[in-house]
Amino acid sequence: MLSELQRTELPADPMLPRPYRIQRVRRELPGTFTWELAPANGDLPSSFEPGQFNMVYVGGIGEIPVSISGDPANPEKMIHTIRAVGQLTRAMETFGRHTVVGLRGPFGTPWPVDEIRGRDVVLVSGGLGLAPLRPAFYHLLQEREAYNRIILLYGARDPDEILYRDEIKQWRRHLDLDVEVTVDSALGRWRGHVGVVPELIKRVDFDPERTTGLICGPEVMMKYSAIALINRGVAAENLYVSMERNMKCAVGFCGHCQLGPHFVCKDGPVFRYDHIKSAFSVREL
Amino acid sequence: MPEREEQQHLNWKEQPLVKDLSPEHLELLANLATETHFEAREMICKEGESAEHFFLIKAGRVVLELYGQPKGHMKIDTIESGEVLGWSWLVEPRKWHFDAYASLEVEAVRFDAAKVRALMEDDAVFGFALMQQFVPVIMDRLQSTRLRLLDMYHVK
Amino acid sequence: MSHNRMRMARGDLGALIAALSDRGYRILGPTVGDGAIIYDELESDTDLPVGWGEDQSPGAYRLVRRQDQAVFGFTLGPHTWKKFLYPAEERLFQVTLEGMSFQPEAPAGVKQAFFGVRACERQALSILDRVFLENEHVDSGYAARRRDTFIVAVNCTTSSPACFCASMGTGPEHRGDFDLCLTELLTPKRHDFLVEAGSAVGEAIMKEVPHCEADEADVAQAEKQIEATAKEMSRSMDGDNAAQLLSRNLEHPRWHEVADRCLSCANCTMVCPTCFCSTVEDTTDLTGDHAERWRRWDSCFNQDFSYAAGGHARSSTMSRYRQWLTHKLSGWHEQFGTSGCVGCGRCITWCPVGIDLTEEVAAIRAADGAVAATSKAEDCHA
Repeated sequence: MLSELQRTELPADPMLPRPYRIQRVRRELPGTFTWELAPANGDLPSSFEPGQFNMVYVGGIGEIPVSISGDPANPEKMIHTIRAVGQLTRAMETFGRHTVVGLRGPFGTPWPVDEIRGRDVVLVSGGLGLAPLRPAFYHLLQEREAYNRIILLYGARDPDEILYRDEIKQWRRHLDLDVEVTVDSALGRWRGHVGVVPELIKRVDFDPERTTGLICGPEVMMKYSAIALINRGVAAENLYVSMERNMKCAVGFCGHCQLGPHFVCKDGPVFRYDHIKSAFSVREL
Repeated sequence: MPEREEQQHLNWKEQPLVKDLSPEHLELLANLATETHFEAREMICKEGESAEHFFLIKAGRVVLELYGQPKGHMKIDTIESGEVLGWSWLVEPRKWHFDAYASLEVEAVRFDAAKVRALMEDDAVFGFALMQQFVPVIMDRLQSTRLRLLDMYHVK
Repeated sequence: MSHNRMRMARGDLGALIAALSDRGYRILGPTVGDGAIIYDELESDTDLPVGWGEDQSPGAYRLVRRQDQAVFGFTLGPHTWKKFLYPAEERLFQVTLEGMSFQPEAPAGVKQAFFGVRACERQALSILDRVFLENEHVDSGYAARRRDTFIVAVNCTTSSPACFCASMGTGPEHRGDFDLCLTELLTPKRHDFLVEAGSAVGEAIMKEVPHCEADEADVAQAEKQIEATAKEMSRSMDGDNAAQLLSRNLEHPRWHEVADRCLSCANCTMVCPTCFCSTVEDTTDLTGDHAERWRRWDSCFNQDFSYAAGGHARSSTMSRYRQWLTHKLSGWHEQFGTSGCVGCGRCITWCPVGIDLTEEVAAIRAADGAVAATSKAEDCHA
């Protein structure tokens, strides 16, 4: 029985982290920070695809899934943007340069950047949801000629909560990109859009027939963004969302991340919207 | 974040508010329409003033503000090309509910509210048709306001 | 078929255990303990629950003395074999925090023999193999233990009122995938075992145990007993159609009805032979320079199970019961190409309020397509 296993060596343990050293810390917003990491033991860094995530382990405290927000063409810089919301992430916020943490990954399904060549691409994000989309956007920029229109729509609660603000400003200077930012409300000198991000979807120019939407943010934001894209005439099978669930293993063993019949860790986090639609309508799925 | 200036000017007759009106009804409205222009930062209306016009925005951006301490001037919505500014003229006491000004240079079509209202009263079919165009705009704006109650980008 | 079937006298069962033991196997099997039949280490055949049976019904379990000296005259207790492959607590690694130096656990390959595996339980092991071995990733601890596990299967010649393997197509008879398979042949006149070897190791072991070739009457008696066992099962479930049924009835009012009874105690997941969910726990010592990571069994009935940034995805009992049952009977098909239920009925017996999944599925089927009002009081409190 199990003769194959008897003959072969056991594969590498997917539950064992590798040490990574923080090379750089960037304070993005109050409570939100970005780490640039590199393997601490001289190993080669893992390559990754846009949309994938790592499990980040902090000794003795815990481990959480964090999407990779760096450039897939430049994997030697492993970039994670993290918001301090719980015990673990608040501890992480205090870590400075040179601190060593554990990383497992990358795990999960990517944004379908290769399958959608030649199409209009509308990236819709809100809040911290820009972090998991940024690798896809970098990829689109590098292969700009392979795509038709590229539109990035981003929503934040107010102008002080815009993630990657300087980078967004740079992207807005590109004449071959449409980058729009909206806020729920604003004080002071804000001259941009005011309203929720689904409202922006009504205001930008794309061809629904040949558009793919990549949506990332809190579930409620993804739900109403998907509805707005569908109302514009984009087919549900051309929409992709990135889901978030509790995870303990990231390899399909622990069962925590189940969403209907799917494991978010290995069937996701990026799902085709029509495959995961019930998650947005059935309560507490 | 300043806007780029290349803005398309729209044909107002093709915009959602009026595109489903019959040619005759559209003609009635066209007779009461005036092309208008606002410089950036130019005031369009003030809260509490009599609402004598409504506007169809062809280009640019109008920002709606509410004022009250301690927050001061609070930007609560933007109206952009293809969208309609103003329905206060439809409902008593026909006063603006907010300040509105051009945050980017605005091209718009202005309608004389008193004359439109008189037309609606004279011609109930036209009145009903126009109301049917306005209600979805109001509903849309209401839903977008509701979505903001969700504080949708925020994770506890 | 009968050419490789052997007959072994009841008195030689001890010789079989000794032969396995001599080969270095740790023998694990049923024994009486804590007022139930549990799985533990066996030293000889006298540790087996000889002459014991059980009274089982939804929410009730009691050991009873049998009239005879049957060795396998019971069905299933609260234990399952998963604990020997996938322990309830397991250290995943240790780490020296200075420099984050990780020390993996060297998965110890234990030679173990599961003595008395029922057909439904054998199916449960196949299901766990799919989860931990035949997945994109392999669980190293499970693989190390599973690799050297010898399986002594037993065909069921008795059933309990909780059993519904016959309707699930998972029992009461084994269909291969064992090293040895026993059928107890017990009448007032005889007490033997029909033995079938399913592997070379199994055959080799039997060379060390007294036996003779089985005759047609032995085989016929075994078949008759197994057939009678299948027939006496009154409980049943249409497992194949349950998958579609549940996935199209996620908002059925029955979920709220069962949630009013469910205590969310997690007993069903603990006794289930295929439930595999786990959590991890991180510890440090007092000096703070050494940490460990442990994996422990978890249950989708625990509220914290679905906690992620922002809150609990499943805060109501309704949603947690629905998660468990739809995963088991529906989601499992998409994930692993099989039902997660083997029809053992443990979750029925060990539910403190006697919730019976076959009854829940039947109730949903009876009102297929019904939709609950969304604002039930329970949801408002949750």
